[in-house]
Amino acid sequence: MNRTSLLKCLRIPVLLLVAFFSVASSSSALNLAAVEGRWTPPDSAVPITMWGFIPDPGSCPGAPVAWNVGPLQTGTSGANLTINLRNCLSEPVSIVIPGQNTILTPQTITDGQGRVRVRAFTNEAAPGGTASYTWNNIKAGTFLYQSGSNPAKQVHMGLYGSLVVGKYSEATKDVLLLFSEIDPALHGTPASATPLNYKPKYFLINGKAYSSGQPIPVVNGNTQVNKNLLIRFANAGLMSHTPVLQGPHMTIIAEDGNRYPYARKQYSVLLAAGKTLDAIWRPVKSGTYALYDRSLSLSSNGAPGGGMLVYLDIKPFPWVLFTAPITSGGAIR
Amino acid sequence: MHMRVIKTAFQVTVLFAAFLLLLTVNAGAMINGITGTTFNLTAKTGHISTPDGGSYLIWGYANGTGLAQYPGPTLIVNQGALVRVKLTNNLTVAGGGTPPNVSIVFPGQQVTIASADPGVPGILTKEAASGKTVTYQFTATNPGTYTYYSGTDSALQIEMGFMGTIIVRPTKGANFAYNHQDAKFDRETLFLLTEMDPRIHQAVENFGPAGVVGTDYLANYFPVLWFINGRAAPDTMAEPMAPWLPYQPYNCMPMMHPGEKLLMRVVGGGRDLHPFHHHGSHARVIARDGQLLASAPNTGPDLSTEVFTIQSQPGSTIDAIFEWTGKGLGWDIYGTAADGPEFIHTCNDTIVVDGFDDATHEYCADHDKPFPVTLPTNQELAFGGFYSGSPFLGSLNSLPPGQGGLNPNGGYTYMWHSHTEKEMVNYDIFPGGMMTMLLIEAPGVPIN
Amino acid sequence: MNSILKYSIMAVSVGSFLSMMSVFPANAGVSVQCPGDTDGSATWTGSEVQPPNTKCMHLGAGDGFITMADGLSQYIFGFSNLTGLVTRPVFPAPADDVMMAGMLGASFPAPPIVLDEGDEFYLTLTNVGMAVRPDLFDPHTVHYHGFPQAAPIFDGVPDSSISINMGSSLTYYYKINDPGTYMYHCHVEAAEHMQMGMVGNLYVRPAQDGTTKIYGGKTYTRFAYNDGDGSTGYDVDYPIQIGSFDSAFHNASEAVQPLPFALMVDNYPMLNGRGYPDTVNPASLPAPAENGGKVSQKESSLVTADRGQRVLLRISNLNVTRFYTLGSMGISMNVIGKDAKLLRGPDGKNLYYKTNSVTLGGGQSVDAIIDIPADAISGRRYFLYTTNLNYLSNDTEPFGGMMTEIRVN
Ligand SMILES: [Cu+2]
Ligand SMILES: [Cu+2]
Repeated sequence: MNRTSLLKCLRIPVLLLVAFFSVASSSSALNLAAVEGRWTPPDSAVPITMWGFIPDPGSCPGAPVAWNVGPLQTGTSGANLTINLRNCLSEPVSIVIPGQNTILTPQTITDGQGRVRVRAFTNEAAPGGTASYTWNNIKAGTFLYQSGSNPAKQVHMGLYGSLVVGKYSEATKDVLLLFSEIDPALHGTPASATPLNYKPKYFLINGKAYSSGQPIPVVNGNTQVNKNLLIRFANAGLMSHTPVLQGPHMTIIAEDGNRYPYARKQYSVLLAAGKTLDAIWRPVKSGTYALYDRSLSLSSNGAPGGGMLVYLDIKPFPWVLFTAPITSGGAIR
Repeated sequence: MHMRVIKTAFQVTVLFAAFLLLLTVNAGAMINGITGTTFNLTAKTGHISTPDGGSYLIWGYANGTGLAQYPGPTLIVNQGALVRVKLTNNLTVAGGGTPPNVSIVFPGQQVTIASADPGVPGILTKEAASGKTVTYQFTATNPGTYTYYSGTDSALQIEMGFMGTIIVRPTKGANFAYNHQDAKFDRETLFLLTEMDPRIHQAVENFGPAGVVGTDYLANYFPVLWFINGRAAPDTMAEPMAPWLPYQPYNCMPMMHPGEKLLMRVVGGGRDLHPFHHHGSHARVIARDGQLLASAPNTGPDLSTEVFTIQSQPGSTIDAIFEWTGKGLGWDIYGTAADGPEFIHTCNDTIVVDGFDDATHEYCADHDKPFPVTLPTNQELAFGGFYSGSPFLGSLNSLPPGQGGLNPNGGYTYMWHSHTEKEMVNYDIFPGGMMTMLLIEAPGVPIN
Repeated sequence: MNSILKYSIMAVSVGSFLSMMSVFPANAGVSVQCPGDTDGSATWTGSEVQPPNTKCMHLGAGDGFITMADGLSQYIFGFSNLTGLVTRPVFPAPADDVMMAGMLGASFPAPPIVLDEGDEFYLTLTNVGMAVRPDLFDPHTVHYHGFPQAAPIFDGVPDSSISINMGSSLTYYYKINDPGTYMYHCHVEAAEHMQMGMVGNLYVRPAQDGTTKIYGGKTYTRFAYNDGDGSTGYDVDYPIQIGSFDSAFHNASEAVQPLPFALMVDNYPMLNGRGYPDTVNPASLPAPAENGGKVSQKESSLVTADRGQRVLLRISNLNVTRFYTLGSMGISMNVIGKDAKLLRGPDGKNLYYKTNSVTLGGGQSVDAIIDIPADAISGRRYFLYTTNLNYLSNDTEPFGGMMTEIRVN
């Protein structure tokens, strides 16, 4: 994960948010490019071919970029959202946001028996071409955006990212945790995932696969004790995962951008493939808290340890420059 | 496919089990486990066995100097207690390497580490190095069903067997799941669901934990064994603490009478989702992860709903209350005079007027309604081992030689199992694996 | 693993030995029980009088063939609909040949069972045997999955009660008290018989049907549940049953080869017994040649509705190997029921929730309502598809699998 997107994942304090939102509401056209990328696994110097979304550089890059999850997009609740897509790949690409209602323009093929099959959920950018997508009156919440073309192939190749619309009144601070998987065997020659061939070996949060012995990814977002923190979960993987916040309970308030009539207090939550969830957590003690996949995608290319694990850093109040180790309150340190 | 051989294998073992059950005291009313406030757990190796003759290395938490257990001891504590769990690492591994650190995490609990046994830093918590001890402590603030499991190299160590259940009994009393009248139960049963990929256990048995490095077993996980409370059916129905299952002390044998409330504590102990289907009727899911499904404090489980299949998620717990009366079947479950003089009975709904007999909980609107169809002749039927020979509760009828026999009081039996049916097998023998039977005994038949 | 393998081989040989020892029932017979029906057809014709609130059905249990979306022919076990065949004719009229009709007549999914609250339902199951597997003498059952307050005698679990042998009939009786989305399947050797195809849709319409309720400014006369306020009112409803097959298991069964249940891995994801694009074929699929030309895949999954209409999806899952997440693309779902229960708390708190996907294991059901926008133009399409995206194929054939379309008329 590069620095820019890590920062974006951590989200932004209140003052900055205000500025951000005033900009977003006036114009919400976002420009993306679908490009070839390379991702270097934590245990190997040999990069893996990926496809990914990047901020549109205006023309196609001359060489594969360093892959990451697509840039975090933001939108305003109730506004219209437009995404312009440049396709730098060799096959058609499109963008869908599963949680937002919209009018789709499916693309079809006719098979050998004359049966018409949808191969893309909506209109596509041809190789080297562009396409534009608009969602009217978008709803608030956390969403995935991903390729709607041959999703069995293009999504696991890396064509996904997160969209955050509006904010919840309960929480001023938020963190985003985007879960995904990589099966290197399907990437050398990009191939469709099928029931029997899909066997992911890398398990990522925010584009990073923790590997045993390496520093554990920390998500801190300047989150303070005794303040509500919104944890936004998204799963771009093809399998379900079960995030557990070790120690405290969270309050699950929404899925796919839909508020529950009654929130549910849980320390674990099923994060199905393609699902987004929003949870509120009010830490009562500062320190470092672990969040990991209890479906035990806790390995990295077969090596035990590693996988879907992050630390959430909760600062004491008032802020101090460093956090003294505290072994209490469910915190790890 | 090979129906008969299954019946035979099933019958022999279960018959033995059922026989022992009759002699066992208090096996079904309350959950087996260890009580107190301080628990001395020891990480050790052991070997579990499966009904098809398999034997597998496990790593388990032992109660003090006892044997490793799969799953670990069920810790039963009272609400408000300061709980201390002292974990000593006596694990040994093949291959001559240093045994790995071990640890415990307690989801939903605010854990601190005792200064006397601080352990060494780990990724999810403090750990006990080989031969050393770490002590965790927490106050059991909230009642409910919780789980505990390894916080060290969890993908490997939970699979190897480091997991278990914690039950926090509420201040309101031991026959309540939570501090509310609607969380009252008559009986309770634990359903800790796990699966196992023997490749991992064999690799560790042969080479120690290094044996899985270089394989894709942890990522491309492929379980072929499934358990409730550490046993595969029909061992689930054998007595608890059976001497022939020394590393698997817990059984899973839900039993009840009509009209009673059975609390199901369902724990996702492994890494897979399981759809736990409880035949017989719906169950009301009242809590998840130790939290009553309540819209506000003191409302009781006003957000609870009824399900016929409990979706058990890894690491999570579900509390559900199951009831059965046979209400609305449209025929008298105790038979009528037309079936013979021994079936003559009354239905008295006078003291508590609720539509049910005050003593037996028979649904009076169905009283004396005849059995609605004619059953085929015995030659046209195959009989289950748990079939009493009669469609009526508490009654027995003769069956061809060698048939039935596992249900000596003529109870009603229901299969409770993973509805991912490939999980209720012992390799190619069905039924087995993640499966047990609920036994509803007729009123007046003593349970235990 | 070696020791297990040895054990399994031993089990197979012992099993076959015992099968050969078994005695074929001496007085086997097809026998349909249905009040008011005298000719054993499970229907009321001529002078026969249907008692009030009574429904009857006659199912055969046997084997057959279906065609997967990639063209593969697949051997199945399954149920056939024998309702209407005369089994007890008035002399000298001949009886219909139930066994011939049922032979290789299995359909997938099983014939849908649609009932109304208050019904007394008499379901006769006749075991017609396995034409392709004469070595098997398996009994069969019907398990009415989810039926509240069940009694073992009619619950279809062979271990707890009885199952019917080849050539004979067993009549199940159900008093239908509770509306909702259930499902049914054979429970004999369930891992095998269900993998092989003995599963089907079953749902119960509520007593509130036929009354008029206004909800959201619209009038409804059909409802998913007895909601009291019309909030589960719908214009059209569709049962959608999630399923999947392991073709290697089916092939091994057809070839009389053992394949351990624990090793199943499904490679054909389906809705209502078909992979995409066959899911959107509104008609029955052509009969496979292997079963003598019997139409065996009658259930489409194509959802069609007018603009502004409310669509009730009765989603269930009866695969035997894994969980599936079913998503809606372009439109959200309102979940109003689960496991044949209205989604309300014990004191009536409304727990309906909106979502874009539901995750079901085998034996779970979800009732979800989709509101087609009032301004949707004809031809607009939405999708129901699995978000487990590697299941969007028919084995290895892409653009298939667990997906169907919602089309605006
Ligand atoms: Cu069957
Ligand atoms: Cu079932």
